[in-house]
Amino acid sequence: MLFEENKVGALFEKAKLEEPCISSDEVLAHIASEERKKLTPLKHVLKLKVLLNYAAAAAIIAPVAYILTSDEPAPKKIVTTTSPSVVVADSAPNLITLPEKKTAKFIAPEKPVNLTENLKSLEHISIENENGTYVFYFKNDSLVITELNGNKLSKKQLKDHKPVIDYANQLRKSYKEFESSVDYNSSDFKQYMLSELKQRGIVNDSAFEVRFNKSEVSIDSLKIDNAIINEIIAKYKSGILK
Amino acid sequence: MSLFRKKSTTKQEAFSEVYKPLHHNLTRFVQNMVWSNEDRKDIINETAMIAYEKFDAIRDKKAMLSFLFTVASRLIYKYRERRDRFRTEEYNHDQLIDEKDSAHVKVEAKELKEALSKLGLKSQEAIVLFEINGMSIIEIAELQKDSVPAVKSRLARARESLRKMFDEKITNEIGNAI
Repeated sequence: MLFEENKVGALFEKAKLEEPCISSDEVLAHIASEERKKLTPLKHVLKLKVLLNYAAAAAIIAPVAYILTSDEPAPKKIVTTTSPSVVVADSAPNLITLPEKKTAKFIAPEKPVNLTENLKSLEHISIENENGTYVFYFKNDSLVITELNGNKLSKKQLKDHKPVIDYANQLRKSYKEFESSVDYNSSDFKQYMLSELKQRGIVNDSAFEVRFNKSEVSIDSLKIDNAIINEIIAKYKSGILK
Repeated sequence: MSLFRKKSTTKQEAFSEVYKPLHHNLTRFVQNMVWSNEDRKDIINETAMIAYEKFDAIRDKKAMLSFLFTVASRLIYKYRERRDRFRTEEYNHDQLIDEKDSAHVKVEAKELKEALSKLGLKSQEAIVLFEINGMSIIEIAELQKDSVPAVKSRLARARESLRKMFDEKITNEIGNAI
């Protein structure tokens, strides 16, 4: 036996001294670069219609979605809908000023939207890209159903659409985080609501008290059209985003 | 900066903290399994990328090294399948060793890699994980989805094959010298 086994062991020991062919920093830079590439499809996603089933959300989701890719031109059209059918007007666009002086348009729904009712129902986001139209249905903050061009995707199929699904989840999460940061009981919001209602000639006495309870706003005993309330809330939220 | 980007940065930082101490171990494994420098880099990058994508789902971060080896192993199997199918790539052992290594390390590492490349894939994987990465036989058995005795005999056969290869090499060198 010319070559003793312990010499094989010695060669393995020397192999451990070999320098890595790639540094950990290079690997991490590769990951960061791949992550940036993943964000690129979002730019296409934002040529899309972001469909949400309540009006205020549309005002918020648009800027939130847009901020994600603020280096892109603003989406041309964002349509809001009440489930299950699209009821949105294509007129009277409201302009929201976004950070970095970018702008996005959203179109307020013509029909009154009851915030409380819609929050109870399944929320959905629709995203359109080169594959077609995705609709993501959320229940209790979880994505429950994903449809592509009207067909429900199976668990197996979902794997092939991961970037868009991740995006929808992020969009939803970003919206929720923003939503929870708005304090409707603040004196700031109440004053804003009263001032807006006065501007519209709906109230003329600042003694009215604004109450906010579980997504519903009431102004003393006054019955105010939900659409108007939602529009003011949307305006207030978009103001925060400025 | 958006919420999305803030979160993404945090995930990269958390991953970096876990990954960095394991990087050298991963590269040692891949470098002793794959011959082309470019393929090695691709496999390491892809392994890390998969680990990054699954990072949130890996609850026990201590299991990360094992996860990295499992992913790298699968990628190496695929790489070998592809290579064997098309056979377009010729081994160039001169390119196997990093330029940064000393001449002494280069020569011996080259010899070892040539010998390792002649072993079966599972045997090569087992002996590299055991001898170079310091994994236990139980861990290798889990990774190779085999029994402990099977891994033990695989290691014994691999050592014996390597010993024979080096014996033949020395015998030939002595014969040439005479």
